[in-house]
Amino acid sequence: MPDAAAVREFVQKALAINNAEYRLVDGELIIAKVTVEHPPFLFGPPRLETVTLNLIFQPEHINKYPGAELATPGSYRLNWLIDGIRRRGGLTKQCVTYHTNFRKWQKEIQPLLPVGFPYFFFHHPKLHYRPYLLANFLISYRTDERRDELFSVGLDLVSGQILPTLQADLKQHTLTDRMPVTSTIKEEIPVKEAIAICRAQAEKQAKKMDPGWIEEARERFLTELACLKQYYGENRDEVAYRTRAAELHNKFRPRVTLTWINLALLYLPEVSYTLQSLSGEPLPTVLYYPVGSRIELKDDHAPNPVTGPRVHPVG
Amino acid sequence: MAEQPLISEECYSFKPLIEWEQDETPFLAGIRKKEWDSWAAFNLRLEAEALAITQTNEELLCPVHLHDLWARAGMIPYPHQLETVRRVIREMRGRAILADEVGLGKTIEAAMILKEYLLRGLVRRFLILTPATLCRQWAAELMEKFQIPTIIARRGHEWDIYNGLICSIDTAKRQGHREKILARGFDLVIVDEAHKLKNARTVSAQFVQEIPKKYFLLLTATPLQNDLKELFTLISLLRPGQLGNYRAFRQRYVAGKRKPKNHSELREILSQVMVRNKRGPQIQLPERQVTTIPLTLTPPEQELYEEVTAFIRKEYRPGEQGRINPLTLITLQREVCSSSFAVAMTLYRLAKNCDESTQWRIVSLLEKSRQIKENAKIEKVLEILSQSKEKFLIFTEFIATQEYIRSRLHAAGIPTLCFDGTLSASKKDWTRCFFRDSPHHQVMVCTETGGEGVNLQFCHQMINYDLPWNPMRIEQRIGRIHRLGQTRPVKIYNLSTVGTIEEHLLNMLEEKIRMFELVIGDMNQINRYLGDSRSFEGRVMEAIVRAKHNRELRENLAKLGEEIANSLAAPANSAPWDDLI
Repeated sequence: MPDAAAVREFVQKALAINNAEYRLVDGELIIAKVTVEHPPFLFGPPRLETVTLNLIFQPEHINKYPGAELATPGSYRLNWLIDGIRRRGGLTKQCVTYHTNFRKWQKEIQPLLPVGFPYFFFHHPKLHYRPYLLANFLISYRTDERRDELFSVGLDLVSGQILPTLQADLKQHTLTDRMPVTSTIKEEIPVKEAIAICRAQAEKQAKKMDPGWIEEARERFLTELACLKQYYGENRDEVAYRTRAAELHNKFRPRVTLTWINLALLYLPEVSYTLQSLSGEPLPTVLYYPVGSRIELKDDHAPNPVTGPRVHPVG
Repeated sequence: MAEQPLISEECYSFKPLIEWEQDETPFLAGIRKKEWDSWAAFNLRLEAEALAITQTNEELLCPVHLHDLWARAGMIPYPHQLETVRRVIREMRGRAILADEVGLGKTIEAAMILKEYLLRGLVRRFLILTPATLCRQWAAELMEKFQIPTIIARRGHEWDIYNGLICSIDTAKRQGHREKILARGFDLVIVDEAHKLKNARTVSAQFVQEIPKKYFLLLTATPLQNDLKELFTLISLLRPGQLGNYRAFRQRYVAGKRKPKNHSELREILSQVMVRNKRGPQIQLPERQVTTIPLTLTPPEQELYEEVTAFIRKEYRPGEQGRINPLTLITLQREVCSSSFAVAMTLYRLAKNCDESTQWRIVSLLEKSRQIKENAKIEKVLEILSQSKEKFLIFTEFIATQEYIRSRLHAAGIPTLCFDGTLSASKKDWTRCFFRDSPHHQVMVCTETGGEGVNLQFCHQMINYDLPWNPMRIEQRIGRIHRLGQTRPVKIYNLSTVGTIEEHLLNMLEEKIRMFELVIGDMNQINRYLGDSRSFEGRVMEAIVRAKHNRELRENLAKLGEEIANSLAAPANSAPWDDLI
């Protein structure tokens, strides 16, 4: 269950994104002016109206701020804001901003190199932007009960590599909607195909579920079916019995419902170094991906690239 | 012939069905049109979904969701209601009979369960089947107290368009509606006044049974009235097999038509599917303050009363082919206690249809009644109203009396609303809301048929302008304002005209049966007593015609009162299933 601070933070962001004026009082009360659209009524056109919201986030504050509305998970007002936000953020196209400080790059790369990697000089770095698709889903597991979870998947639109932690990795970076003019790598997987891959990933995730909830529902179903059999006795070939049993099955049978939440087309930095050892021998090219802090060693002579360990960035 | 194989549980697949709520077309279209939003919006959308996820099945969502709305509407969910919702969802898996006593909020409980399922995303399509007169009340309550929009299905096209529907059971089972309901099915079906389904062979019961549904609520204050078979039918409608088949049920639990056996076992089985909250130390309503106001009829009124009563005594011959229908004579006697205007209407109709031998007598009575322009009761009403600025309900049994009260109060500068069975459902709804919200309208004059099932607990004062001869109807009147949600003591004013049947009847109800202090459980006992014996109206009428003078009438009615009081006190008279439910 998200705490009051998380809800307040969400409300503040929701108000800010809608350009609503608001004021936070003692970290407990938000006074906001929001514009609400009233739907058309008969022949009356839709109209906009400014409404003042007084929102508190903890039940203890009800008496302190009389008339204020409680915004807690499940509350009407929070759901109202959530519904409003659902009209936004469905699609985005972003680029991760990245510094061009070579020394910093080198510092970041060094701890990621595999043990025993030959000494070399860093030179000729290149910064490219590689396209990715990030997709978020809601997976609902339903029987006569329901449990929901979020699922996120990233896809490299050049190599087709799946990045399960892309959404989380992006938290530490700044993004901009200004696209790099040059140095972008052209995607090799068309967006339509990429969406299909993400969709398949979500389905794969849905199938990975713990079978316990299915078993529980099955047990409940069998209890109900046994009860039904007591009623119909030997007349179980009756249409009524079959109909009712099918009705029970419909109530308890497990269903996994997948819902698209949003989709992002991203351009993430990729730093590449063509290396030479101290003795002048050619070494594999080092590809460094600041988002996710990983490196890839691409030996032009070797058939497959060697992937380095994932290490969190230093400092 | 080869035996037909039975369907076994193996036939029912539990392999999860993976389905998509929507496809990716909108995203592809958005990408084509370059409808890019900001990164902040993208992340916030994800946060919103994370906040909206409901993982827990333990805590109820609906009280949190509706906290502010309820606070504004002054609605407080009672602990017994919340506990009922929890039990129905957790233990009964959404199939239950809500059998609370009258006025304890079955509708609220059902609406809370519905809201809870809607919030959990387990119910999308729902149907509420209710008597036609209550459709609007359901729609209003769901909207005002639960923010659940619904449509009342009347014409048939609604079934294809809307997900939240209310329909009268009579409409729903008609051709044109029935097929659509059965074809689509519902996630949740609620049946109000479910005791009407107690006979399994009725079209209504069979129709409700056939509706495909996941969750199912039956609402009734009287799950068991006459026969244990009724209980079996209701339970089997809800969860077939809970009581086995009928033969097994009869063998194990029925000692006689009205006598159960294996009490504790049966009670345990019933409690698995039925919730019955009763009034008691945990659930209490505000007190009832009853004031009887004696008044004397004006001489012309008294004369009319005497002459009409004498006429009735002469003509009343129950069970015989008399000149005038005994039921008409009972009505006439009740009307003469109500107002001269009510009695005039019936006398006029009688004069037109009776033979010549009695016509002159009726016409003379009619003339007498028409000469009376003022009734003594209305002066008392004006006196009561002048003592308080708060809202009053005035109950009468007759439309003519209702109109007289309205016109007299209007003349006295008291804006008054009328509420009766002639109003359409929408006008009833409008009048109820207008009476509640208008600061100018202090009084609403109501007839029984108009007020049936209507909740008026925003008002706490009522005047019984006349008295129904059936104690259950008196309780029904009081029940309009004395119910959950009533926060103030309920004040009941009874107008009692000295020297008339009304005075003796009121004495009997008040002193012998202690009618106005009874709780609904005792009322059920009275109801059962009256149901077993001859009609109460008939008994009162007999007491009137047998009495040669006023004192004898008082004694006759006192005897009747004692008889009822004795039967209530005798433990043998309580129904053998009282401790079952």
